[in-house]
Amino acid sequence: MKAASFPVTAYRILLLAYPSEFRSLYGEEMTRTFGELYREEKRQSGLLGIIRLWSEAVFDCAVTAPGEHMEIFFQDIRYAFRVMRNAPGFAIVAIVALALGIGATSAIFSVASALLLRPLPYLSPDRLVWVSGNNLPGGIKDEAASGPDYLDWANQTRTLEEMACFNRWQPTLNNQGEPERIPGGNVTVNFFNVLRANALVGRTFLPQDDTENNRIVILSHGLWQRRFGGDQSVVGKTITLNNAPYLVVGVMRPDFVYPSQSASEIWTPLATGFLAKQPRRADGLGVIGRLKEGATLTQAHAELNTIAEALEKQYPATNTGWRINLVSLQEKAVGRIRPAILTLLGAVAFLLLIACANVSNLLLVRATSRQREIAIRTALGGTRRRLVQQLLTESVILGLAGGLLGLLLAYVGVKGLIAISPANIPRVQEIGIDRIVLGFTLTVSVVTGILFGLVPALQASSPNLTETLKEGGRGSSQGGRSGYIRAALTVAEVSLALVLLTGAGLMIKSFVQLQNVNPGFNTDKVLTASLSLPRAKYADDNQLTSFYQQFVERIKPLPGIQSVSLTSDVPLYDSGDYLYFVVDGRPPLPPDVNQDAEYNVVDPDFFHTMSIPLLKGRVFTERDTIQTTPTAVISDLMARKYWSNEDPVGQKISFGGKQFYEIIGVVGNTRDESLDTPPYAQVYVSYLQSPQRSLSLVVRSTADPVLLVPAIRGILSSLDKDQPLFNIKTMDQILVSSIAQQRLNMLLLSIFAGVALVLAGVGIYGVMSYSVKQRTHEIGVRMALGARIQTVLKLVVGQGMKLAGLGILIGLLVAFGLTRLMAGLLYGVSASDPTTFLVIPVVLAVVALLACFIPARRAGKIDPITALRCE
Amino acid sequence: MPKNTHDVKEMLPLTPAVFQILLALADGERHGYSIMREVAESTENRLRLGPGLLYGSIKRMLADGMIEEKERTDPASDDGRRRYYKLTSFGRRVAIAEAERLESLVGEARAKRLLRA
Repeated sequence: MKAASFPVTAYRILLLAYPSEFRSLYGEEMTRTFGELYREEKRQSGLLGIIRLWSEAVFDCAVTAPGEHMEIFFQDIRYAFRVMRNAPGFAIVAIVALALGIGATSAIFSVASALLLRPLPYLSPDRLVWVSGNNLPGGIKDEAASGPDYLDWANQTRTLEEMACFNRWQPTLNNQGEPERIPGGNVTVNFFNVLRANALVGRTFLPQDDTENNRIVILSHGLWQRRFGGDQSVVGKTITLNNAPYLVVGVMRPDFVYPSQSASEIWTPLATGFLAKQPRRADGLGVIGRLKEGATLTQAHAELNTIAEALEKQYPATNTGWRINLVSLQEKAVGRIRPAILTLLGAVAFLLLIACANVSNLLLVRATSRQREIAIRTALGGTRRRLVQQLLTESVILGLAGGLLGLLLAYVGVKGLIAISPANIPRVQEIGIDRIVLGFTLTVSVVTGILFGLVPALQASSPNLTETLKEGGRGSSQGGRSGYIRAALTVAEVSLALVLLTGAGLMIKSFVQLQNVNPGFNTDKVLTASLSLPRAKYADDNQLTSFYQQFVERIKPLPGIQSVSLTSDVPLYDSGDYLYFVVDGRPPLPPDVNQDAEYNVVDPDFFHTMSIPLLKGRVFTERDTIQTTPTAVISDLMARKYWSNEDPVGQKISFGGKQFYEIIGVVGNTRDESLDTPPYAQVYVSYLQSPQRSLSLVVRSTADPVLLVPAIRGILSSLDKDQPLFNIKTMDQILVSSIAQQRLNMLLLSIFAGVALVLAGVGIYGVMSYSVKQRTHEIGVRMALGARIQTVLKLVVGQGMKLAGLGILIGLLVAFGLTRLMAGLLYGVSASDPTTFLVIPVVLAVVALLACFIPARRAGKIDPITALRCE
Repeated sequence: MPKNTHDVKEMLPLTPAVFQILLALADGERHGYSIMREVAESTENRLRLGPGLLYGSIKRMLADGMIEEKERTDPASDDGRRRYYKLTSFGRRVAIAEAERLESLVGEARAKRLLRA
């Protein structure tokens, strides 16, 4: 052959655009044809002809090369489907395993995407911040602000464009129909401006609205639809809230939520004048702000801390030790649940890897049975690249099929997840399968397809040609290199499963611990419901007290009632009130000491109703009234903490005012914040001595307490038909929902770990039964030579358990490192809990043993004669 | 692998390239370059097959059993052996069916007076 001329070489380079298969078939012919064309054009038309020829050739290539690639691609896909049809069992097992992995991953990712990644629904949400107080020496974090502190921050800051604050306001709406308690907020007039939210009808608040007792409101879209039928003319009219008239000035857009749809439906101005009059030691204001263009969170944090230090110098009695806690509003909204979501994401990633290892193993086994087919294709001139491409197409198609089914699982899973998720998870209504999740699932499907397909494809495409084509094609008994890869995959699977199981084990143990926590009161057959009397109708204390007294007296004779009482804070439900107190006769405290107690106003029957034991002294009676000495009951913890060497009964305390309360008794501790928060110092006073506008009913019944609700409602409406009974719940419900988040974490992690256990078991089973099949001949020989069944059992089980043991060992090490990351999610269990780390490997070992034993028994039943004859 | 015949109609309509290749091979076997020349001449250079289009079409026509390939020495060249293509009987029937299809189209065009009879 002549040395190739330059144009021919150049054309050969152009030909690289075609698939190699096409090139090897026609490349030579095409090059030669091009050479002939070239010579002729050069002769006939010279340089112009050559230029035209090249343009045509490049165009020709650009038009036809992609088509050739597509054709091969479609051919591969058709082939892949044919292969799957021929082995449907394999395809189904692989697709189901992948669907479990991909489905779980997509479901959890959709949660993470909605809660952690999606920006909050406000204009430039990344500039919004949450501002609160930290008192690190006092061990207090993220404490809501007081009015004067907020005003000082807001007036002095230069890094924040604007700050706004709000607190809770829950008026009773009395328009036609049932009176209803509406969750809402008092907000400074610039609140909507900070969030950059506009009204749908009417307006938001204006600077001139900033006056005290300004009775104007803005409605949420939901409330407007629900209670006013979406009537535009309601704006400009007055509605009745708390028995007083309020002017509606606007309705917000449907997409406006803060902090969530159900948490706030109505807003009224919070006047600067009112804030300025608050004591500096008060708290309870949520503060948000918007960063100036160009200012960073760090700068703002530093600046506000400087302001806080100045305030500390100026007001040492109240501000000593107080610094600023500044986080993005996004962080404030979802930071609390991030660790749980990240843990679950990690868990599903492990699950997906296990599924991949499983399918990889299946593919390796299958590749062995396809060795002849592959060898023939190689012999017929299929290049290795071509084969790998074909095999990868197959595995990516498997991945996509698994992804499709997984998407279905994820869709169902997410629906279920939203249904069972605790009410206090933020933004839960935004979770769903959206474009981002679809894109994620698609990517994961393709990537897993390549991930689990690559090793088997590379392995399968380099068979020992002559060896395989020889009659029998038995190969070596261990399966050689592919045997090692299978073993390694099995070990990896077992160790991944062990990590997941350990995580789940810790979560389960933690949850059991949490459930066994004694809250300090008895929740059985107890009903609670809240009531709030409006100032417009119940102006003075006597009215309040006599209303509640009548209410309780009328409920007592109802059938099935064991005991009725009142409290200002329902334990595990209402967030408690913490008050600073001083002890009569003790020297004043240094300003940086926070001597406070959880403050609760109850009626005389409260301790009896809740079964809180009296330890010392007495509890309140009907005779402790406004006319007699003010009394207080304290918890055991408070008694031990502040009167370690003396008897607290008879001592006097005050809550900052002139009024002193005599301690008359000590009762048992209760956990009021949550089951996993240890009890705090608690002080109780009587509602007869400290009349309350809002109280909750606590009723213990002899039967299902929910049955009492209609009768109690009837009594209330006969006393005052305008007052709604709200937050009607049994104490058991409250207990359950207070640990719903932990239950969900535990449940999900257990499900994932369960699936992982099954997949790992199936993985070991698959490898061992294949190994037994491969070694039929060898085992037959052994048995023919007199090996007993037990020996064969030991041989097979030993081989499998060696893999499982190695996997467990590696898994233990990994788990030991990784479970530390979830320490924050655990209660009463250390991340390296010895019991869990002992029990879980045993569980996994038992499953592995079972998975080995079935193929081993099959090996024991091998008939030596048949084994030696066939093959 | 010559595909046997079942339905000539399945192949229709043909792309211009395929039909022209069939026409070029109607009077005997040719190699690739010769097909190219013949098509260019008979269409007065209106259809110029590039190597990619030519061999892509040939590949599919071989697969469909319209043509067959054999390798022999080109008497007109000293370049050694090269591949020649010739029509199969199936290919001939496909070419005829396509020609008839075009003829009936032309007939229709005449009936609608788009062409003079």
